[in-house]
Amino acid sequence: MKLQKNKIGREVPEHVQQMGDVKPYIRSGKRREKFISESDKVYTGKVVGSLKEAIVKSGLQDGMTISFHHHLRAGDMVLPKVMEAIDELGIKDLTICASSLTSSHECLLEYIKKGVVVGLQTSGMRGELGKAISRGLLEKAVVFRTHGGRARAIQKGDVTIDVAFIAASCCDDMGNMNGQQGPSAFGSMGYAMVDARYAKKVVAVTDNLVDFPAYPVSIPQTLVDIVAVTDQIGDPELMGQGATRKTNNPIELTIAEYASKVLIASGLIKNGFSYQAGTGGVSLAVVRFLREYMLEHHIIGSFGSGGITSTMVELLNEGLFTGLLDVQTFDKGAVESIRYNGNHIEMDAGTYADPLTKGCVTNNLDIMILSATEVDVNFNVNVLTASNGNIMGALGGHPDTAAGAKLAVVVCPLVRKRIPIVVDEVTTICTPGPSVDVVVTERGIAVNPDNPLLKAELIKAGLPVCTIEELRDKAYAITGKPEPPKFGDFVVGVVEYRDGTVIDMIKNVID
Amino acid sequence: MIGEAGYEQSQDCKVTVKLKKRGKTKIVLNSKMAKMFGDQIKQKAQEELDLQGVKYADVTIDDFSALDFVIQARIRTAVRRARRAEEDV
Repeated sequence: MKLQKNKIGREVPEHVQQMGDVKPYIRSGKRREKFISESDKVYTGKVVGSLKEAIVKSGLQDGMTISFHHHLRAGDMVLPKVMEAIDELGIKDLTICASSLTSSHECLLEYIKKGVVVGLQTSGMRGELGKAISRGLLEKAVVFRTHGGRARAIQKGDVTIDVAFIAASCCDDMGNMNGQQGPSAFGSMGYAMVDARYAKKVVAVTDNLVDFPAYPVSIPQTLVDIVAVTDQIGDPELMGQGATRKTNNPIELTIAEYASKVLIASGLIKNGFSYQAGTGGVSLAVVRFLREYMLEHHIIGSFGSGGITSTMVELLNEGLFTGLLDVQTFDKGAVESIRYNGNHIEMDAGTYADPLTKGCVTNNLDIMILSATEVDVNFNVNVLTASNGNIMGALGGHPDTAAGAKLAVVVCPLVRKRIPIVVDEVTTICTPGPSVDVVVTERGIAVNPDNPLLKAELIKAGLPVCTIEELRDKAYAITGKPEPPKFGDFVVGVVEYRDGTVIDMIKNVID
Repeated sequence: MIGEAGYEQSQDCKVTVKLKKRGKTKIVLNSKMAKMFGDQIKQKAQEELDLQGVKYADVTIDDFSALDFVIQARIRTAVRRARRAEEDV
């Protein structure tokens, strides 16, 4: 056996079977070495006083990809502040990979025009940004991904994030962070947890630097390069806007009542069932009907998942569900709950919906309640573009949960204002028809012909079952058949299905 | 003479009808729905004017996503008010 002498004076083999060539100890031993090697730089002194400093330290260059998460929704201040600092530093040609874009991100319009941003990857967008993108503002087609699809793409390397900017309402000087504490608390960090794991550089942006150790730890210090302190990361008042609206609208209540009867007739509501509610007036009204039924029949569900609202928290607190799995917390009440209730559990986007993991929560769902901007006679659902062709929504977890749940229920009014919701062909296919089991409107319930057993049960329960074509005809009888929007030949967006295949594209709208 | 009916509220419309002795009937539609339903709305409006025996008029419809029956009812009332105003003079 060949031996070699290392720096501390001991002889060690040059070669051993399980190691191959042996690296002899090389330190002098005079000074305690904290870090493994000079080449892998480990950050100490992570805290910087400004976003600009953080950006410079992160090594952000022209043409790179940066990521954001949208847990602060309409109240997010991190993306606008970071983009302002990036613009001031003169960095350009960036691609933004965001978990979603909300009304607080209209500033991107300006940065796209200036060439600071040249590419977008997101779950959705709204407002003026959506309108401008629909008219061809960006040369590169926007890549729309579901929440599960985004986790998959990041994990698989379809997209490489150079620098992730992560809003933290509570963070220590080493970068241990959570979103549950502090003045800008927003709850679960689900989407950002994936970014933190795979991004080359991770910047925590906080307005609440606390003494070490911050606890609980949603994203640990082991993943964080830089901690940037700013005055405010978001407005929690704007975070929950509209998500937990209690509806008194008789049409919405009728839809909710029908939907809850569909759930009961399906036979799936029994001990240990799992449920995802979504947001919006109808979905939350369904939860209240469901609650009454569960109390009356002494049923205890297993878990509720997804975006969690205080309506679902009420059911948890009443013992009607064993746990809540939370990827995104929708309102203040739910933020309180995730902070104090051990059964209200934070989950990352991969655990939630990534179809390529060894198990994602959406695939264990019994019941999913889904909204829709449009549904067509093939049960395809659009949640991304308005009937006039403008991008104004988000895929969210819609395709993920519809595919995963045993019973995917779409709840929607037959007509919104003058716009028919059940149509011949949706503007953009987001969730494919085979994923959808039943469409519930105030004027009738259409069951996917692939599910004849459910149809029989609903008829037996005396519910107003009809064909999807009948629903379409009723809608057109009220509104008339609209002129389809005029599209050009320029592709402004592609819609990725959760597995990374492309399910549809969005072309530019011609005014 | 001029008659008005309706309100600037969601799913309603405000209709202004100006009756004329001669010339052409002109229908101006201001609506977010114009691209999707403009032709349908104008056609329904014309049908209602014909039904009311209006031959020459300037009609403005400020529409807030009303359904056809609402638009027709507002036109009918606006025409009646315009005629009443005519009689009052």
